[in-house]
Formats: sequence, structure tokens, C-alpha cells
Amino acid sequence: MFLGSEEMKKGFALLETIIVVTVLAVSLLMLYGTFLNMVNNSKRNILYDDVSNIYITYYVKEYLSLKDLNINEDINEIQGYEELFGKLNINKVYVTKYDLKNINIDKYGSMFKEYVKSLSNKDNFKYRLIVEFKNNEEYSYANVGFNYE
Amino acid sequence: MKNILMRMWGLIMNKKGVTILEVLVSVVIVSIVVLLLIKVMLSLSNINNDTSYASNDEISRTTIIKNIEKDFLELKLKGIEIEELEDKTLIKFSFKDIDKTLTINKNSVLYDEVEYKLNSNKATYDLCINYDYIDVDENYFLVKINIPVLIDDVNTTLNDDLILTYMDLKNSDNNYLSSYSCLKR
Repeated sequence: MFLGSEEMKKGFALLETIIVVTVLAVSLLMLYGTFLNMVNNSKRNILYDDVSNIYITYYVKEYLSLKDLNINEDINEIQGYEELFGKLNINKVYVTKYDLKNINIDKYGSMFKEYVKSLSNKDNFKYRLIVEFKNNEEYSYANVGFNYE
Repeated sequence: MKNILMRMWGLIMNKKGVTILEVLVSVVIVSIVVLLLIKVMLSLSNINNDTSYASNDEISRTTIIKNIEKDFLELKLKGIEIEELEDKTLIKFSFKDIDKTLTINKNSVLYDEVEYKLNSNKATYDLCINYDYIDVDENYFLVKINIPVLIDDVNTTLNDDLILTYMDLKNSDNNYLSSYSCLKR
């Protein structure tokens, strides 16, 4: 039997099949990745800055005595209003500088970190109130900017 | 002659072929890929059947809440009354200089002469709304109104509900319901 003889020319290489299937699988994986991205983005739209939550955050900002708060470069948690926060499904309230520079978010949960990273600082506010809502183990977030002299 | 014909037949018909092992391996690999594809399609179908409704409804929800809350703040809300009718629920907002009514029907809400319809086939508004008046402290009160959106007559998530909130200083002019319980329940 020589290479190139009739016996060796017969058949279809498994290698070719595997290559085609691999290409198909990679394409499908990329499609799945895009699809997952779309789902995550739509989830983010629901959980981040929902209009109802924004107004609740606004009223909380109006109610809290933020004028005397010494807001440093990091994230400051507001405490002492647990009863009110409970009635509004609020889990935590934070105040920070609006531009979010030099803040250390490593010690916070992944969802909070993701939310903070998604925030922009296009507006001209000095401070930012961030509210974490908790509803049936689902966390959602909203924030409002403010200026207190 | 017969040999020549046989050889020609062999040349034409038996040039290419696939062994059974290769076929089996290919079928297995293709099956795995197809199963993954079916899983993706089922996920898409599940998301479609999920509690989230059409994107137009989401826009409507945001618009309604924004318009009402804007009125709360700009027109100064002074009081709320709730009236249950057979096929609708009316929430009357008393502002400083004007009164407005939010009419809740099964498939739409009407506010400020603008009707916002629910587009999703399975979504309806619950005519039994939730209302809370909360004494925050000696100076402040908080009012919460939740108009549930039902998917197949079940309120599966708060994310679709119309949630209105208002907080202000207590005032002798205020006329809010101190409590409310839906009679239709």
C-alpha cells in the first residue's frame, strides 16, 4: 500500500468534521455570550435607578440632615434611621463625593460595586446619595446628586 | 471489458467514503451543539414568558410615575382620597390649588386626561391598591401607594408596579387617609 494509492484516497477525514464543528461551536458560544450580555443589561435597567426608587431616594435626601455631615473622600454609610428605611425597603444608604474619585469599594458587595462602577459624573453636584433597596433578596439601587454648602 | 467497467464503477462510486466511527463521532458532536442551541432557544422562550412586559409598558410606567411625582412636588400635594368603583379605582389627589384624579382600570390608567394602556396581553392592573400613611416622626409623614401589575392575575414582581411615594412636613391643612383597606379583597 502506497500513500496516495486508491485505498488511502477513500474516506472523509474526521479532522475536517471536527474543525467544522469547532467553528460552529465557537460561533454559538459567541452568540450565547452576546445573549447573556443582553440579559444582564436588561436586568441592570430594571435594578438600577428605577424611577420609583429615584423619587424615594430624593425624599430620603430631603429628610436626612445631610448639611452637618462631614463627607470625606470615601463612602459614608448613614445610620440611625432603620425604622424609616425598613418602611421603604431600604437596606443601606450611603453618601459620597459626586465624582466618586478615591473611593474604596473593595469591601462592599459585588452588586454594589457594579452599580458604583456604572455611575457617571456628568452633572455638577458635589455629593451623591446612594440608596440600596432590598426586596425579597433582590437588590436594586438609585442615586441622587446634591449640593449642600 | 467487465473488469474495466467494474473498475470505472469503483472509480466513480467509491472515491470517497466515511467510516462508521467517524459518522458516530460527528453525530455525537453535532448533537451536543444542537442541544446547546435548543437550551438557548428555551431560555429565550422562558424570558419571553417571564413577568417582565412589553418595553412600551415600561416606558408608560416611567412616564406615569414621573408625571404624578412631579405634580406631587410642584403642585404641593395636600390630600389623598381613594374611591372604589365596580370596574375601576379612583385616587383623588388634592393639591394646593387644584385637584387631579388617577383612574385605574384593568388595562389602563388615566391621569391628567392622558391614558396609558398596558400593551402586554397578560398584564392587568390590580384594582385593589396598597396604600400606607406613615408617621415618620413628629414633623414628617410618608405616603406610599402601590398599584400592582398582575401577570396572569398574579403579582409576581414589584418591578412592574406603579409605586408612588410622597414625604412632607405635617400640616393641619393636610387631608390624607390614615389607613386604607381594599373592599374588593
